[in-house]
Amino acid sequence: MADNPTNLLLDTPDKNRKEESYIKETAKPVIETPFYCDALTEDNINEIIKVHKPELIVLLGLNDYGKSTFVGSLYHILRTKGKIGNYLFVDSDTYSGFERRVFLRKCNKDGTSAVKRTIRGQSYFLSLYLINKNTNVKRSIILSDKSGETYRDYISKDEAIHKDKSLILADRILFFINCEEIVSNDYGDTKDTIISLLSRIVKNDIMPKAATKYIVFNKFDKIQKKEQKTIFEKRKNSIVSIFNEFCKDEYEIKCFYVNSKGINYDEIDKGLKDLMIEVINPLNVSNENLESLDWVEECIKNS
Amino acid sequence: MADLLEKILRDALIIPVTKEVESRLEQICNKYYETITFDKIETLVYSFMFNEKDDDLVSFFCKNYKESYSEELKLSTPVYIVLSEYIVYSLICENNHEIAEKDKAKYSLVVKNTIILCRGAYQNIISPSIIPEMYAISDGYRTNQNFIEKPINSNLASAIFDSDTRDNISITPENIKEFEYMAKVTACAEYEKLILDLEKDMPQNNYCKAYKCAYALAKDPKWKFVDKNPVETLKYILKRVKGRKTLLQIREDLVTSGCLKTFENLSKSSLLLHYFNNKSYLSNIEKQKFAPLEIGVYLYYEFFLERIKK
Repeated sequence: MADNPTNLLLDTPDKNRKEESYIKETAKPVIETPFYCDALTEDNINEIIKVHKPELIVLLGLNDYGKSTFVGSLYHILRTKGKIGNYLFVDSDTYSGFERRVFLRKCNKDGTSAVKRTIRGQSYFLSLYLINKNTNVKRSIILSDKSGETYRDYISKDEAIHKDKSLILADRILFFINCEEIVSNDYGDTKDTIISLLSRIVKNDIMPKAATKYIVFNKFDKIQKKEQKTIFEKRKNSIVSIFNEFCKDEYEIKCFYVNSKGINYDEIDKGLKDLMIEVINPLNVSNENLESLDWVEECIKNS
Repeated sequence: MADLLEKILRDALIIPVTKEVESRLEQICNKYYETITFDKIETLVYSFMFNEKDDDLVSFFCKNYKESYSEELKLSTPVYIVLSEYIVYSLICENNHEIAEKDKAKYSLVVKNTIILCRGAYQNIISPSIIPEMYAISDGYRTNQNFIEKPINSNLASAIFDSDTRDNISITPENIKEFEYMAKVTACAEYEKLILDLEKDMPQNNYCKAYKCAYALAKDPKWKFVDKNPVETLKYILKRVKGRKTLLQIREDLVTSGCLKTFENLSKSSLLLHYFNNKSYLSNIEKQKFAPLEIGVYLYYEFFLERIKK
């Protein structure tokens, strides 16, 4: 029996235990996810729903636009300050997924990534459990942080965009834009890529009409020179028009100007702080439909 | 209905189930409809109002899924909760399950009576949007039943009043409509007298008044559907009654006054009656305040369902 390698994973067998029952024991993985507390996938994300599905916030943007950096910063603030706005951080199913993203935020002095970025096929759902410090109302959020390469694939590969099951169900979408590209000589290409991506999403019917949408102009801190600011202002308006045209929402899409790496959570990084508070606060969902559930009140009012 | 199942499953899940699984679930729902009883409806409604999965439903789905598709069914709790709601909705609002209109009205009343569990916390219901449609069925049924059709030939009354004997009066297929008409008109007159009597002889405590009125209006009339709009009637009788008390205080008032009736085999959905009699079910809302009229309306429909379910 000692030659069997599985014995190393088992307790010393009880002498009284029958050999037959002993042989049946095997080393089984405890959970199905690759690593404990890692980001979740489409296959196992539903398993964390207790009763109410959490709000789904999709971060959408091409590679190097700062989506994972934003997630890392958000997590960093929640862990170090314990809260964002009125919401206290309570728990997560995906600590390792967040830690990985914090690790990925490691940058060189020139701002380039010192480590490998989020890669295609990597698990991308991250969960946050919060509680309102004033009302004790609980809140749960799922962040979808796919790799930028995955969204780049949406432009050219049908099978890639057809695989997306979560975007259409998003409650909010944060469209990330790299400000550096907006003011660079490659602006034309960037604009074309954004148009291609949006048109593919709309054409494949995965743009959720009801979702609240935001444009996050990341790396805004890089726009320092006066001429850059002038160019940015002009081109930014064009980008916002493109988004409004594709999304066809009732309201203009709200914009945030941030530095995803700005973790000071103060006036210096006001843009990022405002975005974090916006994301952490629940959407203003109309209670109009819920009122009709109180049929007694309705009947008394109407009779 | 496939669209509704898709929508309701989306309310419950982050990533929806595949079309194939959705279609299989619909098939199993079709099998489940054949097994439905009033008690099962009450359990299903309780399930989606209180967010507790119904173990019998889970067993049914798992067993049938394995038998039909040779696969284990693994669904999360919220899916079973919304499936409960979907089944109840289908039985009440759809016309392809051979459910009698009266039964649909009873199931609809179960939904109306159970929602008190969620008072002040309707956002806890996973998929609330289809519930008002379920309410409407019992109201529609009441409106249809409340109809009084005046017969074209009304000779019966003349025959009764003009003739010295009743020998030539009998119930025949020809005059049955006329008998029904006269019975309904009489029931209406008696109901009006009942309302007047209730106004005259009211208990001191406002909640005892509400209890007494609700009981009398639901239980006393020979014609169950004599009142087209019982809420309006209760409002008329209880209009001067003011104040708001917690459910706990209301129960104390009713117990102290001795006006509580006792019941056998109460429906699970008669939650207020259960609470007032043995303090079960509504502990989650016992600190919420209710006006006497609100209590009167809730109680009327509980008494009414107890009456028509027999």
